[in-house]
Amino acid sequence: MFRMDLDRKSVFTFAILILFAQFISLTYFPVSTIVNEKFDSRDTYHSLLNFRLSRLSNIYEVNSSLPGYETYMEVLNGTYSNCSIYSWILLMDCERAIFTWNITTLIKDFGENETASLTLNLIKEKLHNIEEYLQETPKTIACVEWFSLAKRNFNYGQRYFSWAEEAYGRGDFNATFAFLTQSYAYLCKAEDELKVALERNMEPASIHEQSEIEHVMEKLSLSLINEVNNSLKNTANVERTDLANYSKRVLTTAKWYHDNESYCFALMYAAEAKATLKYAHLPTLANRSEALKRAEKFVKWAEENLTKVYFDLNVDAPWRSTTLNWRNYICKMLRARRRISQQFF
Amino acid sequence: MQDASSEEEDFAAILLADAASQTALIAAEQAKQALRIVVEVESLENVGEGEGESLWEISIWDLIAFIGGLVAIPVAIYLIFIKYGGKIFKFKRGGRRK
Repeated sequence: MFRMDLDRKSVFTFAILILFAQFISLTYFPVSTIVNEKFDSRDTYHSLLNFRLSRLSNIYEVNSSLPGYETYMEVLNGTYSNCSIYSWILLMDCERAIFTWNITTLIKDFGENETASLTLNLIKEKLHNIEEYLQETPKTIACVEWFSLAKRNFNYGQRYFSWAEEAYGRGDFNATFAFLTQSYAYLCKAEDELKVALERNMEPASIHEQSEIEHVMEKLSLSLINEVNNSLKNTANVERTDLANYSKRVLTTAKWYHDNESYCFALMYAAEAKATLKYAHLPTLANRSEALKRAEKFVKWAEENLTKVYFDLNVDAPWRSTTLNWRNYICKMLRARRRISQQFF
Repeated sequence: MQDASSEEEDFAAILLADAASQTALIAAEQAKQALRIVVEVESLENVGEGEGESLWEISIWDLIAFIGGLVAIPVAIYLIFIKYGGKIFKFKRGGRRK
């Protein structure tokens, strides 16, 4: 009845046009998803490390005889590449060592009084700069988390600075320099954390109202505090009373942070109290292989949960760093396990 | 002597494993709470959005797609079957070709 002509070009062109027009809104979304996927948020401490590493490289490239150079080189060569947060902490030690060295050098040239005055001004300026950055409004959950860490370190730095000022007023230069060094170390940490906070205060993380994020954190921390509080009332069946007592102390810290409107930390400490109390109910193991088996099980469970955090672009949970370096424990544990395997098999 | 050192090593390994278990449990709980924040904030926002938003609210892309479809479909039908129809589907009146 009819036969097809081979000239299909125009048909296909219009068919494609129709498809494009119909699905233009659908294609818009996958593009944004691809962009999101390219953003690597798996290791949140990596950018923290990069900030400090680039700063220190400028200093050590000029003068490699400065204290802490070996540690810096170890970090640079990736000796602790599996643990960015540990590397960052080591770089902070380098900063502290350089600061102390600077003070000693300045004292030789200008004397204690002048050096103390100069250093006080330097820290004052640093405090002022950080304070300005802290005025920024956090719009993402990750930013609120990093801001909390930065604010805490800033507050510590401020406190040590005020003690340094008092000591300077008394003419106690040793105490002045000691407090100033401590203040400087905290401010360096705050500086890096703030940089990450500002970096995470934009897409691909979802944008929210700051009040909404804080409201949720307040609600969650309060409910968790109450939950742990109720559990702590009945500690008769607890296997390890030392851990139950520790849980109580951590809960007190969580309550303190909640009262001081630092909900991120309140939640973090409440979670620690909950986990510690949970662990306190487990029996103490006297057998080495059983203890290792249990550790492996918990580490696996922790890794599962942490993987979810790694893949969530909205949240970083940087407070994990404050619960010591759990990865270090794992590394050590694995080494211990290796020794066992060599012994028995 | 060997027994004593082996016992010591055992004890150290148990302590390490214990610390690792406890820390892993804390890290897991903290990660769980962090993820809860995301869920809660998003659900709070969804509730907020649902309250004030009209069901008929459309984006600019929806509008473009709708108008594009509205124009493109009749044009395509016209071009395929009427204007260039003869070139694509050759109709032959009067049944079979001789």
